Amino acid sequence: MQPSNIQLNELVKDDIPRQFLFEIVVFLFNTYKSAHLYIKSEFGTTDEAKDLLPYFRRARIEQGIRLIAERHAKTNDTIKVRSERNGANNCSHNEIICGRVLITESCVDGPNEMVPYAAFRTTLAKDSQLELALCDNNFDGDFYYGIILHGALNPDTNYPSFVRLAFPNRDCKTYAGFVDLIDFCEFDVSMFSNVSEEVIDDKISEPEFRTDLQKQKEA
Amino acid sequence: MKLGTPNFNGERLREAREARCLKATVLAEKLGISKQAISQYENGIQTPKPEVMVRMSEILNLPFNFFLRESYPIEENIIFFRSLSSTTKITRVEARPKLKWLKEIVDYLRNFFVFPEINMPSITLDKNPIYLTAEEIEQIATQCRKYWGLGNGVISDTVLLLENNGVIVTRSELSSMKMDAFSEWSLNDNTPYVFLIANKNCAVRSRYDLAHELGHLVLHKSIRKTDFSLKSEFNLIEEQADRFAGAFLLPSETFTLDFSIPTLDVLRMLKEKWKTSIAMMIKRCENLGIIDKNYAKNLWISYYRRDWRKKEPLDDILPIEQPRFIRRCFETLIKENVQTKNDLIARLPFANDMEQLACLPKGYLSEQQVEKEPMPQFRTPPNSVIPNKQGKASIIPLNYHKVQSEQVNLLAEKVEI
Repeated sequence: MQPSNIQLNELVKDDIPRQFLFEIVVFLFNTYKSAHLYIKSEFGTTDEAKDLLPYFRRARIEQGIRLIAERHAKTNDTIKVRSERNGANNCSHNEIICGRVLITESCVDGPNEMVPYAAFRTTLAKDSQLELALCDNNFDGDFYYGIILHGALNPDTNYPSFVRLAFPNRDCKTYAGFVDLIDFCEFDVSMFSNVSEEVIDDKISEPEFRTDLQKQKEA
Repeated sequence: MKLGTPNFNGERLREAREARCLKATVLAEKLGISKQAISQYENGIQTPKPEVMVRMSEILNLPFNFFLRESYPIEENIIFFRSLSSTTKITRVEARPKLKWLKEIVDYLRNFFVFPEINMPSITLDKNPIYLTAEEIEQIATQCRKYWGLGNGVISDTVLLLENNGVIVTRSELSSMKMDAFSEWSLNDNTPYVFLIANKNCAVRSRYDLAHELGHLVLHKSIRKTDFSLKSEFNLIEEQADRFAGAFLLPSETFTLDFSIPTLDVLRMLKEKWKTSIAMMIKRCENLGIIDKNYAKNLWISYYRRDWRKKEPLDDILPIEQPRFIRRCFETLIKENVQTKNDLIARLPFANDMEQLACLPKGYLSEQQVEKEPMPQFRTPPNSVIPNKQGKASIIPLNYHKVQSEQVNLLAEKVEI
């Protein structure tokens, strides 16, 4: 039986602090922008810049999410974070446990796009007790596996087009459901993308003569 | 009868000497007189001989009539010198007369202009401001922005914001590199003054200095000299003004959106947007709890390794905000033919200092004023070459008048011979 998105929403609400998710969303928006600017400043608009951007951004995102999680873990016992190497030992990823949910993150091309194959993800999905848990309210399983999906639909934009928490099925080939984190956190994208400048009007452009002097002048 | 200078004002001599950072002994040596003589001039016991006056005027770079000018009565309030602990006494001594001259200039301009109304947020406290907590200061800074109708975005021009609201701001040089800025709520005209020191030519620093001084003007308006005396108390009010500046320039609500995990590269890129230094942003992140002490420590280590303490990226690129109100008053007086440059020089005999204090371009007041009255024109003789066919004004060399006066002197000498 597939869980409904409402059930998933409840699960996230119960087990993951909203503030924690909010900070991750904000961080993702920041990092997309800053990584874009940094690569541009170092490599301009060359092909190498395009090649490097996703790697650089991923490193920043993994580092940043770990730091956010570590900070929250200091005040919240239900949050734990660890950095794991993959089987080939050529790449690392974070595994964050929030209550009953175990989270990793991935950048994908579209909001419904399946994450690329990775042995660790397949194992985590296989071990996830999601389907059992949502069928049986008394379930006392280990964890439910969720992946923070993010990505830019237009490669030229410097902010993510979507940020959602996706729950893969046990085969890790399809998703059981999603929670849109931008909605969930009530994150105002327009506020982020346009931190407006407070333009100060020039009210002193023409110093005003005193009225007595003005009259004298006119006379 | 001793030959002296009638109407000589010793107080003006002391002002001039202090403004030029000269000790009495040094000035005496330069003038070839005793230290006691300087003391007697300053205390009005004796007046200098004309030849001493001429030398004095040259050394102190102030016109003769400056020393004859009546004293300007000053009711001095507490002056907040930025980085007071590191500010040497001689710097503070130099700063005071300059602030006094600025007040005299403002006082003179008030004869002609309606100054912007003073529209400063006032806070009511039930305790000595020294005991304000960091959270309270954050709230006051937020209220301050709201009071002026500002949102949580980047303030485009902090100097203009303050000038619009009646604060007199100047940006002028001082001989000391140790001081950044100072401010005072003047008791003479109940007007806030901010004096930014122009020596460190850095836009983000200047903005920060102004916000820091605004912090003093808002938070510490009610403080009197007697309220604090210990160094720790001085440091405390400086820290409060720092906190205010951070909260005023980088509101937590929007600033945190940019700074979940700040790295030096991220901060470097955001410096242009927020118009604040990287150092200030690190400190603000720490104050807001976005980063912990260890992370901040690592950032500072990298910051020093990159040698950004001396000079940060973009420091010489971002434009410096300039005060404009006093400058515009002068320009308007001249443009509207209310006063000539010579009138102003005669009434306000502060020489080059006046241009600096009024933020006028160097040499503006000594430049020859273009006559507005149409001049009678000679008839053009037939077959003569008309210079400057495009009808543009010919440029008279700057030394033209000097040459002319030298020729006149030569002529006079010849006549005498």
